[in-house]
Amino acid sequence: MDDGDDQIDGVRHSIFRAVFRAMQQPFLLVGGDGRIRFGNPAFYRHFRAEPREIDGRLLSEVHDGLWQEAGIAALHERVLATGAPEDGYRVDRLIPRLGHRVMRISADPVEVSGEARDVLLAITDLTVQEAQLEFEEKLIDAVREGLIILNADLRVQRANLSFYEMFGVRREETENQLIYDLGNRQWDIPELRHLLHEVIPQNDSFDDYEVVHEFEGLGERIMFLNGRRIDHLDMILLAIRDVTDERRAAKRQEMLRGELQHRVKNILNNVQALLRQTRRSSDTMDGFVDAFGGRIQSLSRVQDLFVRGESRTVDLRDLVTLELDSRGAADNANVDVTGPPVTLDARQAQALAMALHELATNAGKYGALAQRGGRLTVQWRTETTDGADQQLRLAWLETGVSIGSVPARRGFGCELIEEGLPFMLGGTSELTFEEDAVRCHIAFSLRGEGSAAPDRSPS
Amino acid sequence: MSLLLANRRVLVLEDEYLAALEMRDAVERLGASVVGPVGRLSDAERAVQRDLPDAAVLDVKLNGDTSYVFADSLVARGTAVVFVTGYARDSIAPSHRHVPRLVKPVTDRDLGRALEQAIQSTALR
Repeated sequence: MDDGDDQIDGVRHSIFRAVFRAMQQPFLLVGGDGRIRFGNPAFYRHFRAEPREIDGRLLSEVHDGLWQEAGIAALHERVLATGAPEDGYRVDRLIPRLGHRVMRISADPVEVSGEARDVLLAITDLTVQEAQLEFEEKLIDAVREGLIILNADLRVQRANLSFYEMFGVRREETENQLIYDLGNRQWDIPELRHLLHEVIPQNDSFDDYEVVHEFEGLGERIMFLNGRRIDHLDMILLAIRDVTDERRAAKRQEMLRGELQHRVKNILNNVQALLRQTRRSSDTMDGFVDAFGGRIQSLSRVQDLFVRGESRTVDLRDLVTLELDSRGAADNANVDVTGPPVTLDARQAQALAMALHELATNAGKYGALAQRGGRLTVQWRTETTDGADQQLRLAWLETGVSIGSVPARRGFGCELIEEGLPFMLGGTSELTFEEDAVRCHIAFSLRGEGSAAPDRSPS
Repeated sequence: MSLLLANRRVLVLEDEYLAALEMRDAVERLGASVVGPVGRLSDAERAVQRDLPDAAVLDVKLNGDTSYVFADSLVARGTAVVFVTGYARDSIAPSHRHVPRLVKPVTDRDLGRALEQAIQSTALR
């Protein structure tokens, strides 16, 4: 070796030393005997140790045995034996003064004066990176919206749990697929193509873009799409919110509100009609107030029956009992109510309640419920006529009464029973006053078609 | 009372009994005579054959059906038609928006005007 080579080696040496010292990554030089020669400043910084605590010690003596971990010892041995560098030994453990750390350690053989070899350990601390990854994963999975991360080629890098649940697909059939190929190409939607190919490149995001699309197995869904271009990763984040149920609920709400409005209006119209009809057949103000109030209360009682049962049907017995009860006659020994269970729809219940109210009012004023010895029987049965049609036959019978004179003017009550019931329910209704009895026979079909049912019978 | 309506026969089709009574009374107050009231289409058709009304007041929605087709048949035979509905204006079928229409509750004055208008425009056809 001449002086020139020495000089060059000297320069090289200084350069290497400077580089070694300047490196931000921790390095540790370990001798063939397993003794630590020295680390670079980044090493002491990173592991919060003074050189004097480290240098010259055996690997096993420092950092609570970190460097003696079987894998590192073996790595050291192997590199000494083969003289070939090795990469990527992973350490995941608790380290004194540092806490839990995840590191990757690679080893390089270093020639020192011909034969003797040292080993240079390069340490990459992955703790923050891995924690960030875990945080990202959990965050992504915790989001209720479906999330897909696409790479620049529009292939799925990752999708979250919500996405898999929303579309009933599995991770294996989703990751690395072109978004348009997912689930039998169900995402090959013109709007999405437009968003990904035209909107995203220009605007780097889009918000609440509404897409209505028929998804396989899900039917028509309304989706809100939100997109973000993540430039430094060259990725696109796509968030999908399924608003179908919200929309349907809102629509239903709207419909119910309309329905309610209609009903309220209907009730007011009925009240107004009752008012005028009652006035037509009232002789005195007191009589009018009595009759009108009674009719309104009867309407209200039937309404209660529906609200309480949260059902759209009512049992006939409940209806009869309710009306008699309002006159305090439900438990009267002279009142007899018999009949099988019969289910009435709202229309039938409302109509029959009005008729029963008129009958009970009359009985309470002049008939069986007003006279000592009077007896009231309410009986019904059903008959099955031609095929599935069921006919209800109800009889209201007051006996043991003396009806002095048959009322000359047939008021609204009579009109309602004799004309109103057949009008509302079809069938027949007859009311007769005899000297010692009041009889009412009502018959109508229970099929629920009511009076306005279109006549569709083949003719 | 309306001179134009005096002694005209007006069919009332309305499936709500109390509303039908109201309409019957209102038509009578206007001086016309009532055919019906009827609550179902089949009864309405029979009443038309039997009583040959000059005009008809029809509830649009009838317990699960509508009176549109029936209204068309009336117009075809020269009977004036007025619709009555409990719903907002936009719920009527676009094909029948041209038919005079009243929203419940109906005042005598509005009913009289609508009937007069319907009868006059029918007479001009």
